[in-house]
Amino acid sequence: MEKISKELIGASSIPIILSILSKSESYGYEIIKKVKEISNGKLEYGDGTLYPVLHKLEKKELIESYWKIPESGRKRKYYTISNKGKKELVSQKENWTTINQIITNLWKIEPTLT
Amino acid sequence: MENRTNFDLNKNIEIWKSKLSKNSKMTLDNINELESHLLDEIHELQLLGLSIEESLIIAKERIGNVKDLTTEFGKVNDGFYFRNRIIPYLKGILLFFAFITISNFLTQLSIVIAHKFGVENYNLNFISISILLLMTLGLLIVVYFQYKNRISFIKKLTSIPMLSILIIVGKLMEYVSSNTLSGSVGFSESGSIYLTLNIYSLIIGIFIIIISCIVFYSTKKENKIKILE
Repeated sequence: MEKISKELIGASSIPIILSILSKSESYGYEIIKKVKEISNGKLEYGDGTLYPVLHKLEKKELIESYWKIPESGRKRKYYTISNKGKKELVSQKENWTTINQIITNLWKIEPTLT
Repeated sequence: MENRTNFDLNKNIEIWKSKLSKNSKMTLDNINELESHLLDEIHELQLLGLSIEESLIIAKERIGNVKDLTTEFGKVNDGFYFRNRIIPYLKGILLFFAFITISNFLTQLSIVIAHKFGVENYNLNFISISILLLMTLGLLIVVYFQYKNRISFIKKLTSIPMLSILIIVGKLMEYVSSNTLSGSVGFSESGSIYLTLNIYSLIIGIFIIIISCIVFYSTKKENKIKILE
């Protein structure tokens, strides 16, 4: 299967990042690895392009950041979801579920599209 | 075969970081975060058996080139970028005010010194201008040697808080010295204060214009691309 288009990666970045951070705190490098792993390599964030997205989410107060030195490892900037981010994630889930239902219904009616 | 054992990773990372910080679109926090990412990437590549140098080259490639990174970060840091761009202009304006304040104060001080030594009105202007120019020359010499020795003194002196303090203190001292002068210096002498100040401003103004022209034309000459006919 072909890799997902840039536009779709951009549009889905907010729910994906918020979903990852809703499970546990994480840092940029780890987020990229997780996304690649979950999508079996179909969805890959550019190393340098994830951070501006994270900073945008932080500006919108959907996530929070802090520098931390874990027990084993170096100093890293960690991100965690905020309460506002949790609400946004619920809303994003609803939106994406709706879109998914619309497309599924459409493709059920017109199976030739698949 | 090339000897790669002397490869200095920290030095190379510092060079990369300085390139990222050059065009003011990234904050120090952004750069430190990217450095952390780069080190993670290098560590993983080294686990695959690559040398430090090879790992660094690939890791930098994966993060993206400086131009793309600064463009991406610039979209998020537009406020920071704008603030960084206007800082030199604000510094220029503050330096101008600091210059006016200090020259006013030094003019008054030079009159007080000349007056204290009982200099006649006729010679007062020349003496006060000479004192003023000597003090300016002394300041320029100090600044030049600080620059030569790469001491961060100038950077500290031209920082916005330092310039603000300089202006406030200068204004206070100017006020105190003008009060002192008003009691001890006569009308003709106070007139000479303004004459001295004007002559001093004219000399410094000409000096700054000459320096600016030299800098402008030498930079223009260096930037010129020679085309062979």
